[in-house]
Amino acid sequence: MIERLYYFVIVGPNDRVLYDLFYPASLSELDWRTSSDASSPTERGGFESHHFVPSIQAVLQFVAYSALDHIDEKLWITSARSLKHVFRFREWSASVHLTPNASTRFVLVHGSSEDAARNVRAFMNAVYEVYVPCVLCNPFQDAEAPIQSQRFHEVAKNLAKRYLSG
Amino acid sequence: MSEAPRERLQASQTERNSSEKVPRPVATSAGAAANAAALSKIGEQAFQRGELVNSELAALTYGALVRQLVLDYAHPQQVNEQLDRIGYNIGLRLVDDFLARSAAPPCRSFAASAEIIARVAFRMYLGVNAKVAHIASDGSEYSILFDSNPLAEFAELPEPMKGSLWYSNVICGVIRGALEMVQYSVQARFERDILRGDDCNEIRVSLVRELEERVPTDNEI
Repeated sequence: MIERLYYFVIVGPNDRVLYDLFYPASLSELDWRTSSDASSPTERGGFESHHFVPSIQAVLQFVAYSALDHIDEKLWITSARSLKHVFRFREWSASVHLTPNASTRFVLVHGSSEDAARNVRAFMNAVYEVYVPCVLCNPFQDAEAPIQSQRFHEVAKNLAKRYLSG
Repeated sequence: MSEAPRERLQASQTERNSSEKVPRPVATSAGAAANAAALSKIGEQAFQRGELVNSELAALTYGALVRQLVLDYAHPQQVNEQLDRIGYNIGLRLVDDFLARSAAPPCRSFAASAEIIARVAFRMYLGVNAKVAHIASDGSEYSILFDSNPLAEFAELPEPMKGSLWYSNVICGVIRGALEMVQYSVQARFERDILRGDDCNEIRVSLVRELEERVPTDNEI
């Protein structure tokens, strides 16, 4: 189950979050801490029960933000725009797609197995294709403002469904 | 920009009317459909003849203009007025270019101008097919409907402006300015806009009065 959870986030200049999306969508409402069937350590994100147990969403976000530092380092040693597994934490892994100005980054947190990471690059490219006309070219969208576009949100959800549902 | 432009816009400039054969539209009411088809053809030919400009460039430039106006003025209502004024000044000049290059037949009445604007002018300058609807019984008001709007290709209105800003209001101004130069004083306004979630774009044009041509009194003849 945990293999199939995804967290997609667009990070703008100054590391500001412009857009984020949990997939499957139910993940954004579900509270995994209190859910009774989340009793096994794996489902709790690999934390021991006597520790403070963060929600699964918090873990995913944490992995994404940690990945940003690793992206900044990798940026200088590679010319690739799309980097897989830039950062791993327990069973989570983060991949990134850099837009040409490199200050806006698409980060996707996914399970670290190859199976879970299979469609990551295709998903990122597809999102970027929509990002350009819906967000970048929209005259009412500021470079550092959160993305409000309903159109973009709809398409991003559908793309996540198409590429990430396995 | 990822792919080649799908649509292209007409630039306001270019070579004169070539000597192509243009079918003359029939003036009778029975031939209304044939008339519309003939006008569409004229519009298409004028569109082909003219110089084209990348529609993405035009959409982005126009978007930047509107965005700046939105930042400069406190209320979207004022932005609408400014766009209308800009359009008016474009229209005053553009009508000359239109008359010279379109080869459209002269309008015999105000109602006849509807088809000319929708079929010829919209095709020629915006590259879209528009149609006329809701003509008032006395012929002093009509609507122009069009589905795609190259100006608004990338735009998505922010929620607070959905009720107040007419993004493509410049078109209204162009119509007003152009008709004023051919002796019709009109009001043009958007009624529906796809950007606001409507099913099509609608511009309502209503005649205020016909202007008379007068010889200026202080001129010696």
